[in-house]
Amino acid sequence: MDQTSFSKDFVVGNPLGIHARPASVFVQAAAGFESDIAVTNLDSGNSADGKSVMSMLMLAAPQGTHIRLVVAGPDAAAAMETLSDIIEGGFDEE
Amino acid sequence: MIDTASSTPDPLPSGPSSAVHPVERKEVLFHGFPASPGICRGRVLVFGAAHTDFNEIDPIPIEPSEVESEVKRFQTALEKTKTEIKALQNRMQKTIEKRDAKIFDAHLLIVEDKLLHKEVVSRIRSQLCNAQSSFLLTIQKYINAISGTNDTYLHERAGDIRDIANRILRNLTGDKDVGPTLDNLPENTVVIAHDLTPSDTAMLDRRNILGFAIETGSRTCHTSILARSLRIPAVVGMRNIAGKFANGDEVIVDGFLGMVIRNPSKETLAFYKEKISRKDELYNLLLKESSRAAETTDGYRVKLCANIEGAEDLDQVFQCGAEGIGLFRTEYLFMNTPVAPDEETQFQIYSKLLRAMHGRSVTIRTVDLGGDKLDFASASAIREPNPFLGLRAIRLCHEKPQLIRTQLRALLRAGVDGDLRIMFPMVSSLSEIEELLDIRNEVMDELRSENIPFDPKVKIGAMIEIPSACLIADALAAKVDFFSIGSNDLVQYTLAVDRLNERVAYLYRPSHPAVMELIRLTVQAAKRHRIPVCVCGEIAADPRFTPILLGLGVLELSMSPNAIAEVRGVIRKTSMLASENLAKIALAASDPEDVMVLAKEHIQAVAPDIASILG
Repeated sequence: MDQTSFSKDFVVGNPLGIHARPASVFVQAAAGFESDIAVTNLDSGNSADGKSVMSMLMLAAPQGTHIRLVVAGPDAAAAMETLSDIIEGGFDEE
Repeated sequence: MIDTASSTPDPLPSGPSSAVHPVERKEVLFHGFPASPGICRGRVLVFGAAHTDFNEIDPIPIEPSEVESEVKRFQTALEKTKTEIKALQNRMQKTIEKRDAKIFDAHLLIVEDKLLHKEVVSRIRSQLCNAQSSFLLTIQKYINAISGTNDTYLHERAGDIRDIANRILRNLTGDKDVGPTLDNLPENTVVIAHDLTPSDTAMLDRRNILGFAIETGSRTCHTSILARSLRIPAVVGMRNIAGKFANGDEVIVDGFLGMVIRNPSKETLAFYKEKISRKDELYNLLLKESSRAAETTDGYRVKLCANIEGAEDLDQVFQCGAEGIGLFRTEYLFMNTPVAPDEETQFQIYSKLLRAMHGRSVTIRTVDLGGDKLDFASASAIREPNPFLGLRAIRLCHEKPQLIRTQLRALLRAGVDGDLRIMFPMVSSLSEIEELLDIRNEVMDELRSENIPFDPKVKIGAMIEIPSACLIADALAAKVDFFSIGSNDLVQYTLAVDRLNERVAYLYRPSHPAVMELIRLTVQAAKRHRIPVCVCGEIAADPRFTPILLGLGVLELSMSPNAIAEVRGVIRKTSMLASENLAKIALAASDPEDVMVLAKEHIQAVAPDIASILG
């Protein structure tokens, strides 16, 4: 299997941080990809499975948190593009 | 970081008398901005505050033989919770926007989360704990992680997880009093929060909420608007109050003066008791006048209509004595649905409404949504940087011609069942109206050739809510049968203020002389062309504005049904002469605030009783 992997760093931009709603926007999108998706809170060191909303919540990442997104798998490039857009777009929040 | 209520040991209230304070706490007064008039006395629920049970959990041991039945019990509770959320989601779809409805997706994802499921089941199996203690110990870990940050916003949103956890727990134990969820509050609750999202407010248990106070917001934010439509007192813009209250605190919310009183003294309670009964009395008195004409002291008749969103509001319409429906919004028919409702479905809804109104006028507005709000259109939807200035409402007639055609067919057909008027929102130029009238004509030709009965005389009107439309009102008036001024958007577009943006909301001033002048221009043009003009925004529901609007020549107002009694009361005490004077001053004022002071003084003078319930 093609195991391409990509990694990219972001700063959480939406004012309320990663709470239940943004986490679920992310998880719903992530679930559409075959690749493994991991998100790390670079400030605390905690990592989360990008396909589990509870795991994402454990990141406890308010606005301004530095996070790293790592995707690995056959559709990693597409996953990185979609998920980057979501994070950069403030998780579709105001 | 503020001192959050989660650090206090108070239990949640299960009723008005359940709070037990070890020491008598003193009366404390907090000030904010009055957002919705009224006074209430109740028990505090701090939204987002910790449920004590989540902090002190003892594992409850089970026998190895009970493991499988406990696992099964947990899974059944999850299934039940899922069904509940889906039902709630369905119910809410009508009242909230797509973006806000996402919270239910989040709730569902939490219930379906594999990690959560795995952790709870493995705790039951390996540590031999029963289902609820395993669940609580697991969920506690998540809540602690979020509460461990120093971020107030994130703390509060932990309320979402508590909400869903309480729901699961309730289904696990069958105990109704496990913990409150927003749609299942204890009796006599006053909700105190940093903020309430539109989905939070839509979910609020309307039987048991008495009022609320929030840290954010302004008089025009969605929470305030909702509070006024529910007729419950609300105070907004209260800095750092959430941490000053504990669940179960006794509290008075004074929505007239914008005050919240914690642990009111005996004297305060007596004072408010008297005040509340006076106001109730007055409101009931005003309601009794609902069959009387809304006529000024010098004989000018004003037509008062109701704004509604669905047939379920009709009882209220009749009770308040509205003479018609001035604005029926059709947005909810098109939201959160994978396919647009077909002609027959729409026809049935419109026809039923018209028949229920027995010949009284009904103004139905064609769908006023952005392309992004239409699920079935979303494949082509583009994320717009400025949705309020983007592709929405009638502007969709090029990209989605079928949307407006189907709605027009259904409306014209329903026209035979009553006095129907069709209103087009977001008109900014003459060519748009010409185009829409062409479409209307084509649709009528179609119906004719198909031998389908319809009313060719259904009146067509333009919603005037964009300054350009006011400035070309003469040209528009020559083409349409009526105008309806949508003041909320008119203020927003004229002053370039997003009223939901807290940082600039103070600039949202309906009494701004520029807004007054645009209304005057519109009314004058309508008069020259002998077409009626109605005002259907928030200012139509604000009795302080009533005389000014009359003075500008507006003789038709449409508003939330429960505002009609007060507006009628003010009209019956005011003269057109005084109103015209007030309008003149408003048009020439240099400061919008001066106008409001004057308008209040006027009401104070002619209708002191009504002034007292406006606060």
